[in-house]
Amino acid sequence: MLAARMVGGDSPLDRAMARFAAGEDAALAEVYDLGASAVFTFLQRLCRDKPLAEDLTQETFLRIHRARGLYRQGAPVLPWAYTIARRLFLDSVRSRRSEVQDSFGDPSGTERLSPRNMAGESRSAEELLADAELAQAVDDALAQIPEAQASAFRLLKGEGLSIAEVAAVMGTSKGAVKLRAHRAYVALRTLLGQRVEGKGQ
Amino acid sequence: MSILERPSANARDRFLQIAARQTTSRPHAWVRRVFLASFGTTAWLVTMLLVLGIRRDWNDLPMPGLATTIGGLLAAAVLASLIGLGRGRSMVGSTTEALSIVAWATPLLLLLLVTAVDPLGPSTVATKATPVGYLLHAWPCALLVFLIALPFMGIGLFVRRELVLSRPGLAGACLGLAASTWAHLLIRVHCPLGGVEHAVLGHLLPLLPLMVLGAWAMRRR
Repeated sequence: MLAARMVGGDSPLDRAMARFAAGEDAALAEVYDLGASAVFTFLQRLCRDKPLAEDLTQETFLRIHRARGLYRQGAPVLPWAYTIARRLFLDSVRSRRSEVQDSFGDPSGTERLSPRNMAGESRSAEELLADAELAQAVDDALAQIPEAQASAFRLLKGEGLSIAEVAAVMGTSKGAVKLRAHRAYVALRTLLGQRVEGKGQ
Repeated sequence: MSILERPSANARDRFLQIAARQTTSRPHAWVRRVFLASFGTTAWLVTMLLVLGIRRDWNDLPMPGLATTIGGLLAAAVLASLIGLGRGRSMVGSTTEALSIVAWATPLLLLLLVTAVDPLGPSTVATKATPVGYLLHAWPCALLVFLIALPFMGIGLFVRRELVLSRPGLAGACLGLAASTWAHLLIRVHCPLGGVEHAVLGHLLPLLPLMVLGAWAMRRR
């Protein structure tokens, strides 16, 4: 599913969260429906482990649920959710380092990248396959660079957050985000270039 | 634009079931917490002021110096509290830049107030001008600052409950700094001992362990 999302303070997700924070219990399902895909995708690309990504997505929204009364009206929900998700992921890496390292080695990723999960049903099979291969190559390359650089790249380019929002999510300065993203671009260019050269030979 | 995937329908149902059983903060909890924290801070300040009392040479102190010290400490304490406890634009705490500025600038400001300005005048109680003498006079004040600051830190941790921060360590250090500055303000009003050495060792130094304690407490939550 190709999704264009607003990440300002006035997206449907932010409005649903505002209603939930104001006391409308039924809006919780809407908050989950509007935000879970983005968080789940982010987490799955981060940990490359679907069951773990589902667990962490659930925990992320449970934390948001617990903090319901603390929500500031108009605050963008996605950067908040990404911050919680990333922190949970880092905690899970620390506590289950060996298990997570095993999951990094999962080479399949077939369901994640299968054409039926992607939007643009009318596109040709060749185009979808090329997209899937490119996405897989980028994911593989991102898995080889430091987590902080990969997260900066994913949040900026994958999730469409602004530099200020990525800085808030990652708990760093805007300058550091630019530097990490730049280093990620350089590393990606090198790694993908090596891949193309390898195919050419 | 991003290719998004969905968690399974089972995961959604499981989340909604757990959420229905989970206790959650009530609407407008933040406003109530801030009000309670302000009330608690004021109540603790007044209580400790009544218990400790005002320094005996208060009436002899120069008014401009007194205003500078009290005003500077009050401003530093309020600023560190607001930045350390702020929810930030994205609900993940104040920005790293703001937290870093407070964490570096506030101790420097306090050091400036204590050393360069030293507006509360000379000591009315003689101190022995040896390192051991300074330490002997400083440790009760340092302990008092530390103990007075703990409830302030508890109040800050209460306000912060259930919020996930992007820089918990730095925010916790700012909270420790704010707590020690409130305590420093009280002890400055109470302690009649002047002198840079006593002020640095007895009144200012406890901010270091309090910053470390704040960072540790916030990271552990």
